[in-house]
Amino acid sequence: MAPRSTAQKRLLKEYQQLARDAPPGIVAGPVSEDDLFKWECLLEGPPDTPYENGVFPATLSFPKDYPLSPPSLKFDPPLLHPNIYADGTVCISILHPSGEDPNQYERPEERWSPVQSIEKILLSVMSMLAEPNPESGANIDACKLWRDNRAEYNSQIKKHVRESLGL
Amino acid sequence: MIPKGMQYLLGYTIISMASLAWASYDSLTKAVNFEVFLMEMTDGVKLGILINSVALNFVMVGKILQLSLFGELRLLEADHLMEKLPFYAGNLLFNLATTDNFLLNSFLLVTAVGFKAFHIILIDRADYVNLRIANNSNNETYTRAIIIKKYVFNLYFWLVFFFIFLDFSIAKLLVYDVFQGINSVVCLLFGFEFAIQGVEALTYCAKMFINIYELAVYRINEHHDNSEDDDDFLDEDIDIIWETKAFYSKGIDIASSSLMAVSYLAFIYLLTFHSVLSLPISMLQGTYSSLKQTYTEVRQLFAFIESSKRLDNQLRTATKEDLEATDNLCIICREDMNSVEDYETNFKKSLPARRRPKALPCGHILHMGCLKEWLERSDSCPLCRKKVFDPPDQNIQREEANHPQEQNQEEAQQHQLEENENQAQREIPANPEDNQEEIEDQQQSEGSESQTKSDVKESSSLQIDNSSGADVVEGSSNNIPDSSVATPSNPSGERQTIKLPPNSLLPPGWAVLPLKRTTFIESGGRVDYYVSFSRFQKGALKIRQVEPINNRIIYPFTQVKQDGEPEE
Repeated sequence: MAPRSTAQKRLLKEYQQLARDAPPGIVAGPVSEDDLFKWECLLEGPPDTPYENGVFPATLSFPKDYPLSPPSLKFDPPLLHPNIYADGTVCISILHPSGEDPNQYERPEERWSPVQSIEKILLSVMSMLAEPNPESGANIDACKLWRDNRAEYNSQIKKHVRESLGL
Repeated sequence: MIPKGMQYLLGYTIISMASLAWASYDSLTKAVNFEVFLMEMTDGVKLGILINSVALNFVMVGKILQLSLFGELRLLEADHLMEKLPFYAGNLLFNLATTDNFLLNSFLLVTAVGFKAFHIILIDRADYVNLRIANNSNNETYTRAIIIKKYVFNLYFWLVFFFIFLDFSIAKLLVYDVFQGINSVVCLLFGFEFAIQGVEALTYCAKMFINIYELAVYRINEHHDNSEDDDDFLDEDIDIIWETKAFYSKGIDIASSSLMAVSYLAFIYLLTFHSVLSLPISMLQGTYSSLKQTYTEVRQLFAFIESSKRLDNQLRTATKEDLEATDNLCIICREDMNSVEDYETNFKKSLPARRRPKALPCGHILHMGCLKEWLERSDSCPLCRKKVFDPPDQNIQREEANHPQEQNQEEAQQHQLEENENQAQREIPANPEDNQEEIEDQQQSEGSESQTKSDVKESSSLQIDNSSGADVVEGSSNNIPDSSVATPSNPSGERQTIKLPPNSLLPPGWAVLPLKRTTFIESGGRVDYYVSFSRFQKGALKIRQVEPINNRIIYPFTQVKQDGEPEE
């Protein structure tokens, strides 16, 4: 067996950490122990939001040079949210590589750094679900809906939640 | 069930064949001899049918080649193909706009596009092979021989060479032909395209060799030796890492981009000076971007060399005490850090350089190796985002540039507070040494606020002391009016120092108003009070003894404003 890379060692550490005490509403782990670079996670919809009671599966894909480069998170099936692309990929500043932001939207201190961890990413995504950031929208339709017709937005999400629970 | 793409291809083939059959049948019935037949065939709609069938042949040959060489395409490869190929082909279509030799040109075009397609597939495929071998997906025990064998017996590995060879020989043929005057300038254009593709493939090939070398030399054998020696140690974390790999791959990048730039330049030279054609506008963008890329890559290399040099020399190795003060966890790899001494006593051997804890100027401690890898991507501390290797005064200027507004507000609030309370010396926040300018007054002040005021009034001059503040922020010194009259300083006197905020504007004939006297320390002869330069700007006035310096600019007091009544 080839020696483990820094990325693999760190992923294993984070996995152990998450298995020991996971924050409420979050379950995450590698798809298989042979490939630590693909993770599956389940995120619970934050209470008092339309996402409440929902359980949303997502996949985390880590680059080979993790933790120097950020992983990417994709909801599968896609979730209606202003900051989630139509294909389910999450767009938040913590998942963007450090350096200059070409659009100047995000301050460098909000972006990826090895200090961040899988747990922090997932917690930020949970809070993103609760509070969308319409300034850096990824899904224009969802943005519009969220801004102009909140009732419809909420009901669409509730419908998605019910469907995802098989009701 | 036939896949959808296949269905389309099949339909297209049938239609093309049928129309070709009809065209030849129709021509044959009308033709009396072969020449008439040819004329009929290359006329109007039939010419279109003919060209279509030629295109079909190309697609067929391409598809068969693809199937025999690569088999079914992976999803990623098909994706890349759809992404890159139309753009490339569209660009090349411009080359057809010339009048000469349409048939040859379209032949070259199709060949070039076909080559491009194969390059895209090949590079993706070779990447995949590389990844499989590197990740050891079959969980075999590797030795160096097995690894090398795996590569040598890989078809794609050799295909890369084959394509490089093919690219360059076609490019040479086309370009050389132009020089011989045999072919058109368009051949030169296509020859150039092939050359660029060749350069790309060569770059890829060089990178692949670096990967193989790393895999075979660093990841395999030496590790086995190690693990036999010290199984009982917690020593598995000593990776065998090719430290200088980054230099080599950067070098390849530079070589490739400069090769690209050179070929673009040579091409433009050929076109503009050796042929009658004017400057090819479509090529300028490529030329510019290749030159720019060369430049940025060279710069990156230098920055990288610089920072890795500084890493070794300028950053201090953290001591045991430093590590104990923190939780001695390297934030990048999430593993413990050992101080050099500790490691030696515990493991009876010296700590490898990569695992040495290094303290950044901001106080955060990381493994040397982890830090190095991070600094290849960013120039700031991963924890606090402070620049690692910036001269401190530059840093401060940048911070100030970011928050001038906040500072103003802060000062305004401070001003409100301090009008009513006499507080001990408080200076403007943030960076007292740098963002304040020193103005010196040669007057010894004493007593109450009114006295101070009159003292300042009577005083012959204030001085801006540039000599003691070599790193005075430039923004504020720009605001010092040139019209101010310099007066000689009183050699015997004491000086008062006023530190101005960097963004304060001093109009010509500016005035300084002492606001509140805070304390008076008789023994030191110091008076500290707050002065306001405008309704919103104020500074701390500090009186202190300073040796007179000759080359000092001295500003006279022309006006003193009362606090709250700035118009006076």
